[in-house]
Amino acid sequence: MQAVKYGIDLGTTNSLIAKFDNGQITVFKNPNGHKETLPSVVAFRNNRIIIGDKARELLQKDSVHVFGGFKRKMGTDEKYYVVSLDENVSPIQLSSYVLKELQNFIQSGEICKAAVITIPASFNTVQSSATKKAGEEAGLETVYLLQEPIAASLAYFNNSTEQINESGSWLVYDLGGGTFDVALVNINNGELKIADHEGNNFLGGMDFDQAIVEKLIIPKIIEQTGFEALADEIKVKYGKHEKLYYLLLYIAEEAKKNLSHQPETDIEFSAEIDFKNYDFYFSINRKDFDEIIAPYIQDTINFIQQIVARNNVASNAIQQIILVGGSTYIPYVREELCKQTGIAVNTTIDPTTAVAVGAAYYAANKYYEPKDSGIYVSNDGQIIAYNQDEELDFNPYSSTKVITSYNKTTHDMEEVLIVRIDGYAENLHYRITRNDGGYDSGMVKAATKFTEFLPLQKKVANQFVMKFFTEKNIEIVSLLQQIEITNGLFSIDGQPLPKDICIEIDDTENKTTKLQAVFERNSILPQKKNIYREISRTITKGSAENIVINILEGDRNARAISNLPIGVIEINGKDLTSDLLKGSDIEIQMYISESRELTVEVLLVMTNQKFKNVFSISESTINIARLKEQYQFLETELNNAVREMQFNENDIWQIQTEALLHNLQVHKADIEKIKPTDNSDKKYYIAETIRNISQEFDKIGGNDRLNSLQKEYFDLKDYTEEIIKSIDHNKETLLKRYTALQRNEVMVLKVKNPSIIKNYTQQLNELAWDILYNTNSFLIGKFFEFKEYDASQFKNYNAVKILFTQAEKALEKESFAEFRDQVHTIARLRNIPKENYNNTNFKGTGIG
Amino acid sequence: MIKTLINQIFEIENKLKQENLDEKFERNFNRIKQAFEDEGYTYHNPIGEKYNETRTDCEASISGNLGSNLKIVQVIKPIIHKLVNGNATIVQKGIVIVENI
Repeated sequence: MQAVKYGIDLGTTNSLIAKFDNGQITVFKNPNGHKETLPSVVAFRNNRIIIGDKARELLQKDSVHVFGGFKRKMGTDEKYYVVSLDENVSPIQLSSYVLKELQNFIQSGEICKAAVITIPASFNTVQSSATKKAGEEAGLETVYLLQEPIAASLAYFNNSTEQINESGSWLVYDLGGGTFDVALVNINNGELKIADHEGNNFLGGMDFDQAIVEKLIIPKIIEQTGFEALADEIKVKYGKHEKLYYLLLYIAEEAKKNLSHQPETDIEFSAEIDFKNYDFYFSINRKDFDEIIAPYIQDTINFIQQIVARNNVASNAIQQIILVGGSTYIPYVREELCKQTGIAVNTTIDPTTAVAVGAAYYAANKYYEPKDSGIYVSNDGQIIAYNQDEELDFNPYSSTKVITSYNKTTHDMEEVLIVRIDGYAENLHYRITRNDGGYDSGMVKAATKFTEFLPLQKKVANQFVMKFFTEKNIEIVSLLQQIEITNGLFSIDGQPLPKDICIEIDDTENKTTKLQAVFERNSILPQKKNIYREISRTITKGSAENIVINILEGDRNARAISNLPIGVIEINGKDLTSDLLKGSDIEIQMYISESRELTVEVLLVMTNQKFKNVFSISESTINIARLKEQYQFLETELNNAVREMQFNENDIWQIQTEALLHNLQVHKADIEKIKPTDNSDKKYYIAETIRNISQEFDKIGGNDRLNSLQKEYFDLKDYTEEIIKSIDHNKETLLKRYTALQRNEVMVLKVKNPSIIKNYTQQLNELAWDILYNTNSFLIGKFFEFKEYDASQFKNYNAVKILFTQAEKALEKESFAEFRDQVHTIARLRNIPKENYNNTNFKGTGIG
Repeated sequence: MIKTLINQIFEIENKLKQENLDEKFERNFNRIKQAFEDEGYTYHNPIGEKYNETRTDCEASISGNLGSNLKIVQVIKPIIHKLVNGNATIVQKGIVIVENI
């Protein structure tokens, strides 16, 4: 025996499915629409069976092929003729389609084989049996029925934290989108029973939307336009104002929702009326809305009063009114119910999902005996589900093959998919969906050969899934097809970029530069992109200061110096119409044509100046100032590396690095002498040399050096994670810095570039020091260490002595924040030997 | 919150188009779109595109007679995609009015 677990609210307007699992209820969402509700509408269009939202869109316009409201006809002999099937379908069959579609909401792969389905309190035995049959036709082996008011009561029971009386009465008031029901529920020693019920099948939230349009919005339009005829003309089906009517209905529904949680809402729209364009802007308030819905709500209250009178129940004997249905969110409904009946209104349960949730709670305690499961497990562990048919004692689709044919790349906005089915294909249905949720073929009966036109999104890899089902909606997992069609990205028409194209931007924190990829390697030409950055230092009008837009080709993860400069735009202080302040915006638009001609347009937003340049990638462009700075960076980096390798006794690497340093320094005199006006080829030669040396340096040590740097990084990471636990000051800021740093970890390690890993480790190292200098135990240790130093180790020992006394006092008082500040100041007053190269003169590109 | 911002930007864009002022603000809109893209959001105006019942990226009201050549003639809200783990997913369906052309 197994618990049923699934609860289904098979509604007149909307349906839902929920599941009880480990004490929790999950209300499933439509995978193609983010909504929990599925409109109970079925459309048969061009051999497709469409269920839900898309079918509802067609309901008013295609009564021949689209059917809704069939729940009201359950248990009758009414039939609906379906042209595409050339047969009559019953309300039972239509309900079974809705039930099948609800089962598709379950995306976990689990198959719903038994469920509790809710029915209105008014359903007689024939109608109830018809609902059960619909469940069976939808592939459910076992179906339990539960009355909707009881389901709502169960949802309330299980949600309530208060003590609930074992005996008494309450009302379940269900006001949905299109129907209204009210039921008197008696509870006797914990047993729930419906004593009486009333309802109106044509009263609900949609009536309120129409009332807003007719009574609140149209009068405002007439007031502004003077177009009196609109009041009548807008109601004409297929009339000239139909588009406007749908717009207003949408606005009305939004306004209704807003008024449920705010006293007033703005209405704003533009429309063409009588060949003139108008803008409308006005407010409607809750009072106006309450007045127009009052007659409808009064009708529902009259029903309550009838029930109460008919059953001789005093209002004060009814403990509460439980609200169900989306329209009960309206404050006026709640207020009037309470005011006119004098009964407490219970709003503790979600009125939209209450019935499905209650059914799921009920299902948790209902059991069924699964039939031959029909679940086959293939050799690779994949579940092949098949519900065995009486005539078939084996899986007839086990040797069926699906062969698909389509263009994997295209420039078109739709692509034809050709499908052939080899082997047994009887009673097979397929459904294709696009993974972003933008396309759903609906359920279509499969022929042995068929085609589908798949709509595509621009410039992305469009992924589709084609699933196959038996007639009873059991998926044949072994036939599943994944289809990927790329639009516009790869094509024989365009050539791919062989390397990344980047711009060089400042990394002011580390006083260096880094690259930002503009066009990635393998992008198909032509390409266009806008880059938005800020100016990283103020450039005064008329000064010799400049910003440099340096465009490079190579690897975006390498240092700028390793890449080939292909274009440069210099904007000088003399070019500016006013000062350009640090932090102001710079917009760089880059276009690279199919013939790899690069056009760069720069806009300085603050001065509103545009600079444009066209480069051919066959010639590289070099900025002398940047070249000099890059030379210095590399020289410093190589010097530091030699020292470090010496310390770590990596003799071979040291010798190789020293050789590179020597090769670099050969050009030192030349680079110092070269002028920006130099027209010779020398600058290209030096740039090329620097680039080669930079690339060669990264290769030194190969994988051993990479592994050693990675180990160094991971050791430091472990240490940082250990010390981070005991931070005493600035905890939030430092944790944020750590998280931000960690975000790049995968990318940095993937690059396998020693310089990048080293730079990254250095950043983590700086953070580790900052953590230590914000940890009391470390600060105390450091303080006593400083006290041991002699005067020569500090810049101003007299000041340091005063600080020692103040820090001691702060420590005695356990005033740790003050103590930390004193230790920080002492640390800053230490005499620290200067680095070989001081980056304080860092100029960079001027783009941050 | 971002969806609300996108819907407002979309409305402003449309109003400026009606007044033929959109070109003047093109750069600003591109900048805003880029900022949304950086956050993983893109939006699309499907005006003029073909429509049929397999399009689940829009919620449509059908104006006039239902025919086989439906086109989107009015867009009340745009389609919004969000990039989640490298895959674009629709987070807001377009709200549209379609007509048989």
